[in-house]
Amino acid sequence: MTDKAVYIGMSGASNSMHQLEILTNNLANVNTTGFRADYEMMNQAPVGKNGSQETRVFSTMGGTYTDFQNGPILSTGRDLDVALQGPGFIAVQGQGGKEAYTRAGSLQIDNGTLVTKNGELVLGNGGVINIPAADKIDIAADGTISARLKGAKEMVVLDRIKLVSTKTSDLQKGADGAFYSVSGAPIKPDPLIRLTHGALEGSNVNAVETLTKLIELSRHFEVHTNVMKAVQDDTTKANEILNISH
Amino acid sequence: MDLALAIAKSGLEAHHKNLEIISNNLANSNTTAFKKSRGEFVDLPYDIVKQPGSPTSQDTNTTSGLVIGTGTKLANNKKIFTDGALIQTDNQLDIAIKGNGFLKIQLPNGSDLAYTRAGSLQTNEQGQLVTSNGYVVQPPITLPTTGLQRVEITNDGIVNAYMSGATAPQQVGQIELTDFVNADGLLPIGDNLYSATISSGPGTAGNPGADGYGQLKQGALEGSNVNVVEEMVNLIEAQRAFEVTSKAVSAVDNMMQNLTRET
Repeated sequence: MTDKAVYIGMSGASNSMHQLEILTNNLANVNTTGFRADYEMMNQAPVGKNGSQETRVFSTMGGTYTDFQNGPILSTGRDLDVALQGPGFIAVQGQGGKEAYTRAGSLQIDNGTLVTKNGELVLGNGGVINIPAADKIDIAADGTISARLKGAKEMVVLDRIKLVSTKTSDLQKGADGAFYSVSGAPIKPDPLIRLTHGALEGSNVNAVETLTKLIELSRHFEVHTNVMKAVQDDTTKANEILNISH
Repeated sequence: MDLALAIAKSGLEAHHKNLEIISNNLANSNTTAFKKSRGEFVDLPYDIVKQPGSPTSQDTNTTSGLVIGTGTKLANNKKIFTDGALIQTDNQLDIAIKGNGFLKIQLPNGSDLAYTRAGSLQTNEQGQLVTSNGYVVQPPITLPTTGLQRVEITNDGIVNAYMSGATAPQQVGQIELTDFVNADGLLPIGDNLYSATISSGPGTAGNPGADGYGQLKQGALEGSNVNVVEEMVNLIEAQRAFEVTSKAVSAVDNMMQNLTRET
């Protein structure tokens, strides 16, 4: 009969694997434009109350949260690349037509509409932004898009990219990697958000920090497997002593 | 397969593909009118273990859920259509396009068109203007096969032939340029050629120098727009990204070994 303490080691080891998945995902996205790193929260879950002797405390995954620190700004020189200076998000049409928010500003034109690298429609003042055939497209610091249309001499203003800011606690990462407002209601545009064009924001994953965490996590995992090993050894010993056949 | 291993594998694959793109850019740093590509990473769909905002009691909700990312992939490697540097060649049939536009080319199968910015033109046996691989420039322009002394191509694409004995030039054709709503959507097919796609839209033809089309410059070629320094930096970055992700693979491997050894 094994001591149930083995399950405590198991809960720790299996949660370490979850943490490992999150860390590995951060590392894999070290070059993804506008990526925000995820971190995990662990909770303790005591089982029963045996007076002062609490020896059965499992660990559970509390949840993940996103680090909203800005990534480095990388100059690219491309007209349709934008990076947000400071806080803020670009509003796009996400899953199920809901408004989503992203900081990945490598925009492109698909069939005359402005889209992100994932193909999500970028939102302007009144919905989708249409870009007619143009010789030169310029995106101003406040998100205003102007273009010199085919054959024309003057730049005309087409639309303005919807830029928003909100408390980061009001945002959650969706299954597609974009951010959605927790309440589900669209966030109001913020006229103070500024863009740089001809630049992109890199991933905010710190490779050194993440690799160090990876090492630490490997050691944690070893501790958990050692607990499992110790319980197993104890059980073997106990069974030997209690063996009445010899 | 363990999810962490699958995530690391997706990272290794994507970073390796990025190395291929950067290598291709570097290999083409001397290709006439070559346009560099840029790999664009996106994160893969997230595994939502616990929905953010799920109730913790009748009145309270969790502030964050448990969402685990499943890795990264290369979403696209779009061509960056910035102009390359002009290289003076003094060859009278070399033309560089300064600004927007592509030369239209008839592919040898007779029906398909392709587009190019590499203007190192030559003449074929019939005197037609062709690209370096012998594809005829559209609309076809035929130079006189005998008595031709000199060819002049103006900024707006008019081809003039100076014949021996004649004082005035003879206009033999007009080079047209084709422009696209979304040049990023063109499909590169090799040999410096692109073909139109739904995303690029059908091209609209026009004369060089007019309505926003680029001007032609005779006796020059457009160089590659690859910046070798920038690509070397990208190469280092891609290599390091590959390395850190491979560390994750060895970490998972160690943990799995430890698990089987200790239990």
